[in-house]
Formats: sequence, C-alpha cells, structure tokens
Amino acid sequence: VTKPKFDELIHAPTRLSIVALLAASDWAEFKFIRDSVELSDSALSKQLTTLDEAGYVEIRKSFVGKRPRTSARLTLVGRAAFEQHVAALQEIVAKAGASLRPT
Amino acid sequence: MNEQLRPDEAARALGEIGQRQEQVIELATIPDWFWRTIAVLMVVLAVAVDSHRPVFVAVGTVVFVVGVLLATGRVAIAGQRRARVRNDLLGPAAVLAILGFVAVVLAVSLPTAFLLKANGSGHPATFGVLAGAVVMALGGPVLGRYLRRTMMAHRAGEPR
Repeated sequence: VTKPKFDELIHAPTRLSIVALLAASDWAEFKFIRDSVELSDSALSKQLTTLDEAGYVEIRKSFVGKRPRTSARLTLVGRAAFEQHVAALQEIVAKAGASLRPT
Repeated sequence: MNEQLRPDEAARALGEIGQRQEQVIELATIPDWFWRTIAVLMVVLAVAVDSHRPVFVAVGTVVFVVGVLLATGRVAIAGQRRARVRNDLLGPAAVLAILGFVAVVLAVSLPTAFLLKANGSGHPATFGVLAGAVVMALGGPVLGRYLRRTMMAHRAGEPR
C-alpha cells in the first residue's frame, strides 16, 4: 500500500503532466514530452532540470546516427514520489466523500 | 498546499494524470489494420507454398517477410521511438492473453489443414491458414482492445 504524501514539486501543473507521462513509460523522448504537454524546448528543459535536481528524473543524451536524442525517465525516487502524490490526491477526493474522481 | 487543495482540484489533477498516461498507452496500442495486414500476408504465403512452384514460393516468402517486417516496424518502432511504455502495465494476464491468442490461431489453422489433407482436399495449407487468418483479422482487434484496457487499468492511480 502506497503511503499518501503530497508533493509540491510534482503538483505544479506542467510538472504534473510531465511526471504523469514519464510514469507510464520506461523512458520518453524529449520531443514527445514537449509536444504532448505543449511546452517550448526551453520551458521543458527548465522543468526537467528542476525534476533532475530533485532526483526525480534521469536525463539521457544519445545519438541515433548523427542525430542527438534526449530522453528522460523517472528514477525510482521519482516514481515513488509520484505514486505517493497520486495516493494523496486520491485521499483528498475520498475524504470529500464525493464521486469526484474521474473515470 | 495539501491542506488548501480542494477535492475538485485533486480530482482534476487525477484526471490530468490519467489523460497523460493514456497518451503514452496510445503509442503501444496495436491498430486494427495491423491484424488484417498480417492475416493477408499469411494467406499470401500459404497460397504461394501450396502452388508448389519455386518461383511463387520464393516471391510469396519475400512478400511475407518484407510485409511482416514493415508492418511490425511501423507499429513497434514508430511508437517506441517516442516513448517506451512500461512493461508492467500489461501484467501476467495480458501476457497469457497474447499467448492464448497465438494458440487459438494455431488451433484453428493446423487442424483445418490436416483435416483437409486427410480428406484429400486440394490446397489444405491455404485453407488452413485462411481459417487462422480470419481468426487473426477478427480476434486481433479484440485482443488489442483488451491489452489497451489492461494497460489503462494498471495506470498509476487505478485500483489494482
């Protein structure tokens, strides 16, 4: 059972979207994240750096042929923090006793 | 912030999380055309083999191999290039469903072919594979939808 723990770093709107994308992936390409959450390159880089500094994501740079490719993945710490954050959100909804949780 | 977060805001955040995870899962969803393509390629190969003419067998084999590689490459590589979906979203039940589907295709095509051959019917391989191909074309999309549902159910925040 995951212990609920609200995470302010994750809950920021764009970071929540980024971390949610990464939570369903082993890794995700920078362009895919950028296009999915509709951020500029620089804005996404800034958010990923923040998550990287917190130890929540790992950024990998590689080459496919001569093309550089940047991808990101959640670390174990990041995944645990995300799951605790989701549990905290669910707890808030459950405590309200309403069927607010989307399907 | 936790203390100040209203339930409707928490619910909205959970909805956002669900939608983002769905975007990743969509990348791993097998399109219906894939199953029909593989089914047609199977029949093409069987017809070629049943012709017993080396040229047809060679051409049919090339068409089959190239077709399968192109179709699989388009589905698998196109999605994985952007993001690789976590394997554990599928779970053991989904793996069993995939193996079961392969078993059903074989269980339909092989006995059909052997039965036709035993009865002395012409082109037993073609009709056997045709039967399996029909199962694949009709059952593949059902399997695909089941796998998608399974991954959606295993997203973060969903009850296990």
